[in-house]
Amino acid sequence: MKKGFLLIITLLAFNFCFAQQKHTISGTVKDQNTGETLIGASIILLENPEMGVLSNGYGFYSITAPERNYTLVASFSGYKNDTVKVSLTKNIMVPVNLSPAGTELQEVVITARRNDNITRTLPGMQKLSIEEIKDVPVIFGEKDILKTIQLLPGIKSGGDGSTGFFVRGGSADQNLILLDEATVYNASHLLGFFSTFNSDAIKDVTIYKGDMPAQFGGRLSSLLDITMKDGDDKNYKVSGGIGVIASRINVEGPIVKNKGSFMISARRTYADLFLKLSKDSDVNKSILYFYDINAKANYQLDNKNKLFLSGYFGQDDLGYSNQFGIKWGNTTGTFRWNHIFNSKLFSNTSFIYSNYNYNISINQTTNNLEIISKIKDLSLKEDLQYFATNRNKVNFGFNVTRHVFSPGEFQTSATSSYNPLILQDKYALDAAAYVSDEWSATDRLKIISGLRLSSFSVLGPGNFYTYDVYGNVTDTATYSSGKIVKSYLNLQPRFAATYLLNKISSLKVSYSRNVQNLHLLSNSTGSNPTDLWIPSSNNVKPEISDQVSTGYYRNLRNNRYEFSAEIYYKYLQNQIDYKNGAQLVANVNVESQLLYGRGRAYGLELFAKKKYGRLTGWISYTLSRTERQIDGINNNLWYPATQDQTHNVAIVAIFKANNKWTFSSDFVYNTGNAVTWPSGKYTVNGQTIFLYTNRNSYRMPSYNRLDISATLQGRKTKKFDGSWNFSVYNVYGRENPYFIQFQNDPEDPEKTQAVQYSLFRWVPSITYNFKF
Amino acid sequence: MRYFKIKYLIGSLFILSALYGCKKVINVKLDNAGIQTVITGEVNNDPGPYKVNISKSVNYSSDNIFPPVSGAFVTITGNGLIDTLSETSPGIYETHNLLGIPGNSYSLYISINDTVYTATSIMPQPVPLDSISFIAGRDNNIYAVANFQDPPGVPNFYQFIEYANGVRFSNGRGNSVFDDRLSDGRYINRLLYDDSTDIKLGITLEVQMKCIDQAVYTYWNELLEISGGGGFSSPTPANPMSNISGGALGYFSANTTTSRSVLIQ
Repeated sequence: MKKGFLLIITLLAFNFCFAQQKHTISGTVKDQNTGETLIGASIILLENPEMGVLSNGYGFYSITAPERNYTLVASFSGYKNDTVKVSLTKNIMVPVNLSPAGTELQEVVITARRNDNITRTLPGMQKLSIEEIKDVPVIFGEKDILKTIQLLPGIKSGGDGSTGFFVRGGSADQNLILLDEATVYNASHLLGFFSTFNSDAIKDVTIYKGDMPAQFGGRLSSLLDITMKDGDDKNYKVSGGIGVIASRINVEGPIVKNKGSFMISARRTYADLFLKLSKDSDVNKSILYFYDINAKANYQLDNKNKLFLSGYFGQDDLGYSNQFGIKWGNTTGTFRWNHIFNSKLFSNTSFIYSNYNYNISINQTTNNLEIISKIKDLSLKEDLQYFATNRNKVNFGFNVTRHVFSPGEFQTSATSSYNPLILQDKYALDAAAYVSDEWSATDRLKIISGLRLSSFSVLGPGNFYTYDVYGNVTDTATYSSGKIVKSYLNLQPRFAATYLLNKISSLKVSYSRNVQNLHLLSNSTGSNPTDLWIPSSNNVKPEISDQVSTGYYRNLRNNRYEFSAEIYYKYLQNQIDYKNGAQLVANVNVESQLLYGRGRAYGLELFAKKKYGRLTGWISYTLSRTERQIDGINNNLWYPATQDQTHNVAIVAIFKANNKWTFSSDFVYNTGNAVTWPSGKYTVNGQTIFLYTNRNSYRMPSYNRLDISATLQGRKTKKFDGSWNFSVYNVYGRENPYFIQFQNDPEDPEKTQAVQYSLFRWVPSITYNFKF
Repeated sequence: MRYFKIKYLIGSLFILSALYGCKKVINVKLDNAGIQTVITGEVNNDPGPYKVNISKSVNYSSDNIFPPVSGAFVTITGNGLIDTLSETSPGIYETHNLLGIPGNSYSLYISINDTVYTATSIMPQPVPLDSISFIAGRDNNIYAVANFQDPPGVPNFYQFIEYANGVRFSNGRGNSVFDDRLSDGRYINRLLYDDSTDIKLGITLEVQMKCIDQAVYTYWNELLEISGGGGFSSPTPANPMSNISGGALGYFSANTTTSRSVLIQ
């Protein structure tokens, strides 16, 4: 902590010395029509074009220059440039409003052709605009951020139609998913076939593949930073869509014109209506749906203060007949206060609430049982951005989170076969302070160096156990409320440098360390809502990753095409796996069921994208290897992790044929996952049992698929805009293996056979979207 | 989710995917594992003789014919005496005068061509099985329910084995385990998931409830977990942990048995 503050003070002092005789222009960049703030818009002074800056996550920018007259040019992808004459004699505020460039005009008006990908400093970072996501075909016609990012290099899909993803060899729980700064613990609906993010409500999506800014931490592999729309502060608007599986509606408008706005977006699936068609009474009594609501409001108190309130509420409900039901959901809430101390110091203070819970009810004969489990987080976060000079921007701040884990409460009736049980709540305090400095050392060299210090403390009350190698309790320690059981202090350095070779190409290099103190336990290959999150403890150490990466970036033909090649190597410590037959459910001694080890991942990622024109799209290719070494598994030897896919290719193409029709398609190919298959068999009491040798030594058959989609734009009027979207998932109906089961041949009990199960072939869907 | 079979969840998922999903038999090329010795043996509180089976594993691609191992030297030690088993048919060895007594410890010793395998199992106290009842399941299946009182204060491990008209269900069906970790001292109605292949109107169903020791429970629990053959959402398969030392597959179980028979009408 002390070190961090010293560093801040030194940096500030250093910067003040050079900040004389200059003034600062600052302001917020917004969409002219809707008042939506624009993230990452570029601001330059024509007279001194090297002094460019980008607007921050709240649209705020600050640029400092010597006294004189300037022409300020603001630009943002998909918008017309705006030019403002500025006479700089004192610090001034210049609000910037950009108007959208209208898709049909894109070829005529030269909108900003950006080269951010060349100049921005962090390698392994990728942005997707909602426009891009909108046109990529996905299963069930329901636009989905999590499925679209799987088409980027280094990001692998968790399975057919799944929203689960793996980044650069990390596990699914090593992705930090933030929705308006709140952690989303389970980002999937309906067992992973839909993500919790309704793309109507989303403004901006950025993914960092391991090299995240020092401001963020807590997960090893990636940060997916999702910002909700603020809502139109000028006009009321309604938009929505009606699809085969789900419908959604979005309402936005001003609270006070030009000062505040709100946005509410809601969605519900009705897959269960299909079940009603079944003749089987158990099936047609089943329930299978989810809904979610995103809401956000903001209000500009004055020039210097703005408040935001945003929330998410989602619930899944799945029930089989009357016998079994499971409900799960996330609730998040964020209250934020943007404060501009002065033209150089921007502050954001957030109070964040996040809750994930599930509830299982079982009703069989006399066995009534209800299981309730939840995680509750309460956080305070303070982020400050100090625009010291145009060459130097300092971010610093801290955050404190209190986690409460309620791993399980069992309620049973008097006649139940199960005893009521309450597993003790677990408490943890998670705190971090960080400082990072973005420094343009020369016109060509940019360096970001950061340091994050995190502390994680497991707190009482409760009993804490120590285990021997066999998992037997050797010692029990009882702690009273608030007593620290175990603390972990971790220093996480982050470093990245970009060297511009020229205007259209650059080299980047980075190193970062990440630490993770929350671990997801799941002993199955699929994703279940009941997978258990546990904190680091006296037995479970924090997971640590170190990643080095480097890349070459080049744009062609006036930034129309972009190309990048990145390589990375990642080393993971304190990775978690499970003993055979591990009891993860309702187990007080769940930590005795775990095994620990190491991981390593390395790879090459190639990416080529056409950003402008009637035909846009990208090609991504990843060559990688991901391995684990866990004591107690595979004779302690290294083995391929399940998500190890050697080759991974994705091609996305979007073609605007005319003002009416847009066609798009995507193609994916990847090597099969590593799997454990039998190498022999034997008999136990007349039953054939398979004999296994090495962990994950076999490969699933490779996966490939082509999806297509066409959008028909109806007649647009000032009042109404409607469009139809038609899509087919897995056009050529490839039977992609979902899992393979080994069994005795029912025809010939002397033989065994492998049966491949596939999920989705030729899934057509139609969606009608409207806006008024 | 072993207790509340995630099966249901998966069931619901497949209702959805049934609209699209499909399955087919494929050819996969699998390596050959080294041949291993498989030992299964039981002692219980019914009168003997008790049997020990010794066989060999085969490669995946071979037929399901598992060669018996003859000529082994096999003893079971318990109640202070050593019973040397005789090979009554190839690979099957039987005791002579051993009688299982609950609470006692039994040790298996096997020597095959200078390789020695040993195991010890403690016979738990018996728990009476009160009755068998039935409930209607999906697709007109009938599920049997075993009803019994779990003794409070002690960990108990149970195994259920089902017979139709005196014949054990084929290919491993009708074999399940249960432990009282979450049910200590309760009156238990244990649902046995069966299907219509085995339980039909007109047959006599016998359910055997065995009390087994913890190591044997662990063995069966892990074996049952992988015996689905690696389906959706199952953990990465591994060989079940055997209580036999010396590198053999299989188990040695000293257990107590109570059983009930019901005619299904």
